[in-house]
Amino acid sequence: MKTFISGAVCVLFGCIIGSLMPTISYEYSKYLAIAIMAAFDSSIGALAAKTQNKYDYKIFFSGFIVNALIAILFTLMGENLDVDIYLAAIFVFVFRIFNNLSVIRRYAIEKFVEKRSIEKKK
Amino acid sequence: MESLKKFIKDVTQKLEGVNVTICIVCFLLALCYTVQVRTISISESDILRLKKENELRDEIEQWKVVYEDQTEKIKDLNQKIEEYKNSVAKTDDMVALIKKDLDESNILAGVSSVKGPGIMVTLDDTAAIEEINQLAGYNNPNVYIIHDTDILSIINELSAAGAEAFSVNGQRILATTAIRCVGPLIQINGVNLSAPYVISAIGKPETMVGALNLRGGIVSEMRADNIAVTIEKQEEIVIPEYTGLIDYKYVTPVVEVEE
Repeated sequence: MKTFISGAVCVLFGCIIGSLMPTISYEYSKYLAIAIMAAFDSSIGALAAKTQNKYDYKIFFSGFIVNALIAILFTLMGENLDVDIYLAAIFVFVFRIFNNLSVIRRYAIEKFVEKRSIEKKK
Repeated sequence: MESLKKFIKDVTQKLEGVNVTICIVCFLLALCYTVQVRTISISESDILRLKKENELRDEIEQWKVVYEDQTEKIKDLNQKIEEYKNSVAKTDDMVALIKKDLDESNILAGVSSVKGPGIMVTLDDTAAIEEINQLAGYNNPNVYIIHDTDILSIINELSAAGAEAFSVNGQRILATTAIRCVGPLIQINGVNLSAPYVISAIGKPETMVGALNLRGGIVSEMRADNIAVTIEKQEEIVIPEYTGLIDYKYVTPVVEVEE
């Protein structure tokens, strides 16, 4: 519960500071977008790992930062080579997000069903 | 100092059990997201302009050129309409005269197909190649191949005999037509032709046949050179028009201004 509240507070902080910050130029917003997708993917991945008790904050945090940076690098490279690599990156991220979401969903349903059966036994 | 320490202790106690990583991540994600959304919403209207400005400018340039072209054309056409109106207003005789003039010019220029009595002269490589080679002791293609000069001299002869239009293997001979050798072939109007060469000419058949068959004339010379020459009189010969482009680059008519 504490984690949840602190997370929500941090999100709020982020939103406030983000809306106070100066905007970046449009050219770079592409890179930021891909970084956001990478970060989002990492976060969902961490949640899925948590459901399987495989969560490690070191792996999570390093993945969060490094994935975002690599995604930006790939986009840059694609720009230089005139190949839309960022499309592939987005594809991978969204694919993984869906996968991990399904893992989380399965976990939640299993938990729910377990709870119900325990209650019934009582 | 004491109070500060106490405050820090308080805060750390309160934050016990809070996952710092998740806090940082949430913060960063929210921050980036907000910045990105704001960037996009601000530049949304600018993007189109920025991205397509160059393209649109190019397009405008192109359309400008097209527009100018078209206005020029409209101007030209209007002028022509005016001219036609004037000529119609004058007399129909004038129109008929111009039409006749134009038809004659077309015939002369070779841009309309024509028909009339005439002759067909067929030149073919000799059948006696082996014989000639044996006689000469070596293979000499010059002996039995038809040259551009043969065709030229026949056309020249026919012109002298009053022929009015020619074609060789369906190629109309114009005032500007070149007839020349390209290897074993002959090129006329840029088209490569091969033997047999059929020269059609419109004119008075008897005169032309007579001119060709003159004793010691070109045909007898060619026959002596083992070229198979056949001459046919025809009631009606159709000579096709020149289908290529006539494009004068250097020639312009000299207009004499009446004072």
